[in-house]
Amino acid sequence: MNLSLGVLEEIVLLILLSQESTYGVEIAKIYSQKFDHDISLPAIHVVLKRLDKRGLVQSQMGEPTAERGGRRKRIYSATKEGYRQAHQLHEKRNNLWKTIPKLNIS
Amino acid sequence: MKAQKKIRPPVWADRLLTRLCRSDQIEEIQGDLYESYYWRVAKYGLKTANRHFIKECFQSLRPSNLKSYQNMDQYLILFKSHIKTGCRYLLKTWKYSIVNIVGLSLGIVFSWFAYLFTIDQMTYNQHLNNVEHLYKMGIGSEISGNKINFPGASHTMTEQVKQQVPEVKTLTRIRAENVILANGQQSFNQEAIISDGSLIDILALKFVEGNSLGFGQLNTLILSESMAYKLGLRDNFLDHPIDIILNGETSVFKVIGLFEDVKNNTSINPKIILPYSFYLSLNTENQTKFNQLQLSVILEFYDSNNIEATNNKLTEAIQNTNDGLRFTSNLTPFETLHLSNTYISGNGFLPGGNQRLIKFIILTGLLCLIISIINYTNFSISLYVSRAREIAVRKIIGSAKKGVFQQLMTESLLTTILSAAIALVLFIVIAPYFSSFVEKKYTLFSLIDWSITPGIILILIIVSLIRGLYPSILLSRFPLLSSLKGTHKVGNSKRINSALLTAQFSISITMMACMLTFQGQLDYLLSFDKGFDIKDVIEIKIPQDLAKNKQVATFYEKLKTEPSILSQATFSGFNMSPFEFDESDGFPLMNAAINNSYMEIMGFSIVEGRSINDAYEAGITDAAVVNEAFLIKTGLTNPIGQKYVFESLDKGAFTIVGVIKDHYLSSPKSQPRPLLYYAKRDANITYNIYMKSKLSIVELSEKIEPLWDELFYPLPLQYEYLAQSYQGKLEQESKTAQIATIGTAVSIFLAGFGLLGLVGLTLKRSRKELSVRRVLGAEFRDIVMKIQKQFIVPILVSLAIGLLASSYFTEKWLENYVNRISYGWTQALIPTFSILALLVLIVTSQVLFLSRTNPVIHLKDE
Repeated sequence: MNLSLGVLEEIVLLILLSQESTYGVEIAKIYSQKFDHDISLPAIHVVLKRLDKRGLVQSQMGEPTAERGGRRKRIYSATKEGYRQAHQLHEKRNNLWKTIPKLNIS
Repeated sequence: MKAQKKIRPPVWADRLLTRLCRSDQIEEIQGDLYESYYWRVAKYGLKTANRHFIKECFQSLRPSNLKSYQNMDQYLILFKSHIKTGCRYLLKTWKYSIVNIVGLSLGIVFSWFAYLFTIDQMTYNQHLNNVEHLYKMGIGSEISGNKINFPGASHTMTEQVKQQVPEVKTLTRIRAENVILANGQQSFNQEAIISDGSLIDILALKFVEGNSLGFGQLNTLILSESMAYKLGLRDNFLDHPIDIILNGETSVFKVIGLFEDVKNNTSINPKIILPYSFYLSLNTENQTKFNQLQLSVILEFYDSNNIEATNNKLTEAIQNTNDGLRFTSNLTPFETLHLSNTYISGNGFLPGGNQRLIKFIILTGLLCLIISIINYTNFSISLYVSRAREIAVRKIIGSAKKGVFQQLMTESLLTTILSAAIALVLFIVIAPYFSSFVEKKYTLFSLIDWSITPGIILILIIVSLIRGLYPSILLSRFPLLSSLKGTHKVGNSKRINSALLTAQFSISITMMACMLTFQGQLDYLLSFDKGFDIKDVIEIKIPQDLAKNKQVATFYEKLKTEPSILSQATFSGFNMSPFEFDESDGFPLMNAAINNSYMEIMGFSIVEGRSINDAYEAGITDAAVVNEAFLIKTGLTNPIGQKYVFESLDKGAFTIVGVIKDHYLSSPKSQPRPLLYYAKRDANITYNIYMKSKLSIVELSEKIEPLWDELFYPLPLQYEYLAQSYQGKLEQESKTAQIATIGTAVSIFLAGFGLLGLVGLTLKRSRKELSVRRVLGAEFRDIVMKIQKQFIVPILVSLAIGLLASSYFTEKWLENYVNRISYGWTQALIPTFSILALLVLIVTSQVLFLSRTNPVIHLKDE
C-alpha cells in the first residue's frame, strides 16, 4: 500500500470523494470554505495531475460555459483505488490516534 | 445610455499564458482562471481579482505545462533568431562593439551609483514606525532682533508640552554624551544616547537577545550588535556590567538587551542607549532651568493633518511661563528631515544630506549615460548604412518593417545586457571608492534589494529603448531596390551624426569647463588672503567632557616644559551674546577669550592699534581686539581706546586696543561677522590648545602623549594640523571638484571613443576615394585635412555651446560664494585646446594607420 499521499493531495482526494465529480475552481472554493484561507488554482491543478497520474482520480472534458470564456471544464472524479487509499490512510490514522493515552491536558 | 466597459482579466497575462502553455492544458487552466477571476471580481473587487489572475498565470507556467521549443510561438523562435543574428553582427564588427559595450557599461555604472545614492538619501527615515506622524522639535528665539533656531529644548519645556498638549502621543527626549566605555581591560570613547524608552518603538529596534522591558530603570542599558562585538561581548552578556565614565565619574550599567544595528539611512543611529533617568540623575540643576536647550526632542502626534495649529499649541505651552515668553516651537517632519534646509544635526542626530551633492551626482551620472547612448546611436547609424543590403535581402525573403525593427531593437537589448554584465564588474571595482567618497557602504548586494533592483533594471530597459529606437526606425525604412543596388544613401545620416557628435562634445566641454571652475574656486578658497596664517599650527582638541576640568590648565602648563614646542596658545571657542553699543542699537556679537599668545600663533593681520600679547597685557586687564566687520556694524571710525560695557565678559567692560583684518577662520565661504577677542584674565581657558613646534606632528605627539596620559588616561589625545582641519570646511567644494573631474574624464573618454569610431567609419566608407587620391599623389597632410574638415564644424559648434553653457552654470554656482573667482580665459582656453588637440590626434592616427596599407588592396576590393 502506498501511503505517500501529501496533506493537500489527501484533502483534494477527500473533496472529490465527497462531491462525486467536480473541477478545479469548485475544489478551490470548497477548500477555502472548509479551511478559511484561499488556495491558488495552479496548486490544485498540480495536485489533480499527480493524483490522475497515480490512478486515484479520473477526468473528462465537460461542456463550455460563458463565464469560462467559452472553454470547457475538466471534470474530475475519484476512482475506486482513490477511495481505497483514502480509506486505508484514514484507518491507519485512527489506529495511531487510539494509541495516544487519554491525558487530561486541560 | 453609456455602455459599460466589459470586465475582463489583464490581457497581457492572458496572452502570455496562451503563448507559453501546452495546447492540451490551456483549456482547463485558462478556463479555471477565467471562472475564478469573475468569482473574485464579485467577491473582492477588480483590483484583487486582477492581482490574483496575474499571479496565478505566472504560477501556472510550470515546466510540465510549458510548450516544447519546437511548438513555441513564432515570436519566441524569432526572438532567438534575432539574438543569433545580433551576436553574429557584434562579432563581425567586434572593434566597434567593444567600444560601444565598454562605453555604455561606464555610463550604466555611473547612473547606477547615482541612482543608489539618490534612493538612499530620499528614503532616509522612511522605515521608522509611524514616520508620517513624527516631527523633530526645535526652539526659535530672538537675540537682539536676529532670529536664531536651536535644535533642541529643555527638560522643563518638554514637561510642559507633555502636560498641556494632548495631540502629542509620545515625546522622546534625546541627549548624546561622549563617554568612555570600559569592559574589563577594553575601553574607548563612544557617543552614548540617553533617551526615553519610546525611542525603541520609534526606531522599531529588533532585539536579538533580551528585551526593553526593564529599560528606564537607572543603570540599565541596551546595546547594538556591532557595539557588543566592539566591547568583546560574545555570549552570556545579559546582566553583564559595563563601566561608563562621564565627566570623570564612573557608573556601572547592566546590559539588558541587544538589538540589531539600525539601518544606515536613519537620522539617529544609536550604538548604546542609556535611560533618560540617567540624564536626570546627572543634571539635577538643569532640570529646573528653563533655557537649558540640551535635549533633542522627537514628537509623535495622533494626527498630523493640522500641524500648524498643533505647533501653535506647542508654542503656547512653552510660553505659559515668564521664562518661555521669548521662545517659539519649530517642527520639522521626519519624512523630509534628512534633506531639510532647516535641519540642524548634533546631539544624537547625524548630519543631514547635501542636496547640492545629490543633484550633482545625478547630473554627472545622467550626462555620462547620455554620452554613451549617443555613441551607440552614432555608431549604429554609420554602421547600418553598410548593412542596407542585408536588410534588403531580409525584406525580399519576407521580413516586414516590423521584423527589421524588432531585429535591431533586439541587438540594442543584447548590447545593453552585455554592458550591464561589464557594469556589474565595474561596480564591484568602483564601489569601495564611491562608498568612501559619499561616506556610505555600498557593495554588489546593495543592488539586490526590492527598493533598488526594479530601478536598476528600469534604467537598462530605458537605455536599451532610447539607444535602439532611432537607428531601428531609420534602417527599417530603407527603400528596397536602391539598398540592394547599394546606391541608397541615408540623406540625413551625416547630419544626424554631426548633430549627435555636437551634443556629445557640448556635454564634455561643459563638464570640463565646469570642472576647471570648481577646481579653480577650491584652490582660490584655500589660497586667498584669509586674514590669518595657520601654517604648521597644531591643534589639540579637548573633549567636551573636560571643558570644565581644571586639569586642562595643568596640562597647558606642563606643555610649557616641553622644549620642542616653540609657542602655544589657548582659546575659549566663540560665544554669541547680545551686545548693545549705544542705547538704541545692538546685535549678536561673537566673542571669545584668548590668552596672550593666541593672536601671534594664528597670524592675524593688525589693521590698527596693536594685538593682545605678553608685552602689553601684563598690567592691563580689559584689552579687547575687534575686526573690521565690527567697525562696519557699529559705524566706529576711531575705535582705539573706546570703552564698552559687555555683560557677557568676566568683568563687564573692555577697551578696544586694536583692529584686525577680517578673517575667514570659521568659514572661507561666508561673509565675516563682527568679532571680539578679549584677553582672559583667568589663566584657565579650558578649551582647544594651539601650538607651533619644530618637530613633526607625529614626533611631537610621542613627546606630549605621556603628559596627557598622566592626567587624562584612558581618554585618547586628539590632535591635527589646523590647516588640515580647515581644509575640511571645504569638503563640499572638494567633493564637487572630485565628481566633476571624474565625470569629465569619463565623458571625454567616451566622446573621444565616439569620435575615434566615427573617424574610423568615415575612412572605411571612403577608403576607395582616398586610395585613388593617394595613387594620384595626394600628400598625407592633405588627407588628414580633408577628414578633419568633416569634423571641425561640429567640434567648433560644440565648443561654442559648451563654453556658453558652462559660463552660465558656473556663474550661477559662484554666486553662492562671497570670495570667488570669475569664469575666465583659463576655463575657456583649456577645453578649446584640449578638444582640438584630441581631434587632430584621432584623425592623424587613423589616417596614419590607413596610409600604412597598400592603396591597391582597397582599389581591388569588389
